[in-house]
Amino acid sequence: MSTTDLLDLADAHDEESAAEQLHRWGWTDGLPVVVPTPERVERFLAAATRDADAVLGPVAPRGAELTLRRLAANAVMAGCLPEYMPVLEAAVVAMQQNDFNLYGMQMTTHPCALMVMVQGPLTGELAVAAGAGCMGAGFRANGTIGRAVRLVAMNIGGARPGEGEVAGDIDRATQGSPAKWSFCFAENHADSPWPAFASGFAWPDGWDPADNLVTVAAVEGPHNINDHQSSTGENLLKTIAATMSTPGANTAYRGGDQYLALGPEHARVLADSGLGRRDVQEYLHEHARVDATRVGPEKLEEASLWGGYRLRLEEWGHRVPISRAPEDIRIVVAGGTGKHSAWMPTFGATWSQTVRLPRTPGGDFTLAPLNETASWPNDLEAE
Amino acid sequence: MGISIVNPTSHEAAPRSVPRHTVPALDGLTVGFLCNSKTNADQVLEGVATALVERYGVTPRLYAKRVPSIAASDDVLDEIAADCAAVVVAMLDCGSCASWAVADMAALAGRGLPVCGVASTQFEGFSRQVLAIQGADALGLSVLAHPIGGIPPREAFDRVTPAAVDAVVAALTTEPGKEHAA
Repeated sequence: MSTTDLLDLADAHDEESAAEQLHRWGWTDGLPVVVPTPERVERFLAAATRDADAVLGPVAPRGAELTLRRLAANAVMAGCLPEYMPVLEAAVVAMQQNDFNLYGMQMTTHPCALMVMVQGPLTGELAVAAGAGCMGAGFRANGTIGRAVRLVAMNIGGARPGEGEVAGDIDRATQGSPAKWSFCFAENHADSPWPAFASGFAWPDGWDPADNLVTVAAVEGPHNINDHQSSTGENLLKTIAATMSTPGANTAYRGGDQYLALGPEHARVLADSGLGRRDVQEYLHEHARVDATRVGPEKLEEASLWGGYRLRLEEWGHRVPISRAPEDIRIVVAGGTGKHSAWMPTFGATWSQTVRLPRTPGGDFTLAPLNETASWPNDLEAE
Repeated sequence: MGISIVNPTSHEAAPRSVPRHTVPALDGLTVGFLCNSKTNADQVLEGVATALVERYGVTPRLYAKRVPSIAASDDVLDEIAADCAAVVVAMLDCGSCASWAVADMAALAGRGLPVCGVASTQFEGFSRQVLAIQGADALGLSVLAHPIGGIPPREAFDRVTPAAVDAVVAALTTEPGKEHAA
């Protein structure tokens, strides 16, 4: 442990006053924290996949070096259990990829959160909720894993909310979002009619049902899609497509991948109609469109310039796709009983990252390949 | 006896230092204008270009990136560096767009160009913080009244006051440490 890792809070005579000191320094998210004593941090380091003195690389925008020890300190503060550490290590790998654009998403006025989705057997071992209420309050793993990721973004990445006038207040989110406190859930594979989400990636060394994965996406908090009535996939998809056809999200053909978390009952309606995940993606790519004639000319001018589709509006009948390709609408199953699904629109200038945890002790974290669309040029008018 | 904790923060970033380059004068030079496609950024740059043509007879060249929330491509940055003696970047008037515009400024300065960014008042302090993160706090800004987006294009053009143009000229021609003497 380096000497700079340890701080002596000389004026703190008990943990309550130590925690208050952390609040005064602006090192918390505003909620009560567990004081990261060396003893607690050591227990977390013992549960990590890497050596206690591992250096995990810089975190944007500040670019400060994250160490495993400081990751553990933030995990302690968030209220995590030590065994969550491998999930947090994977989430950090995801956030650090260039195509994730942590630099931009941390400082944008957009309310994008760091959505963490966990998949694989580890979800059961850690009790990461995948069923009823999994995106809400009530689950320690969900609440504290998402919170720890946010604390790393603030304490190492250096972006706290504000107007840019005080040192470090460079998270410029206009309102932010409750999802910026914590946004973590697990895929409900047990109640899904389809193959596991992660099996759809072109893993160079294949996919194994025993694989554990962590996906991080820069997306808005969940938008509800309520349909208690539709009994066929075709009818249900109309509701979903219409809900996703909104001009105020950053999804009008701007790039990036978005997430649709189908409730198991909705997924079952679709599957019983003979629809697979790809069929749903293709339908939504084709039918979830923003009616450009209902968008003011000034917004359309900038949005279409970003998306590079000004010259394609006629071809599209002035109905702008919300994705550049079907596969950019990522579909998972999550939640419990009920006829609700959740849509998470993307920040836009970002590509979500899925990271596989080491298959063997001492092994590497492995990144899933990105969709081909991530390499498409934005200047489509030049085509 | 206090309580010991493991520090959950870090400020230990790899040192970055982007120098400020200047030209003695703008007369007759080719000046680049990098537009990040934010609403009315083109109007602001046209306002600056018009003034610099009138004052110094510069030859303006306009460049653009389509997505404000990511970096300009190396191809565009290399082209600007090859063709221009100085460059003005706009518009630094939101979070992700300003942060990446600052990164573009640092990348252009790293290519040896005098650079000035144009920020709105509400994003001046923010832009200076991000410049510092980039190690580019020596680079200059010209500041216009916020907002620039969501106003008529002509109004955005007119916000480029003579004082704002003066700030652009100072950023491109005044050597570091001599701003107040100029």
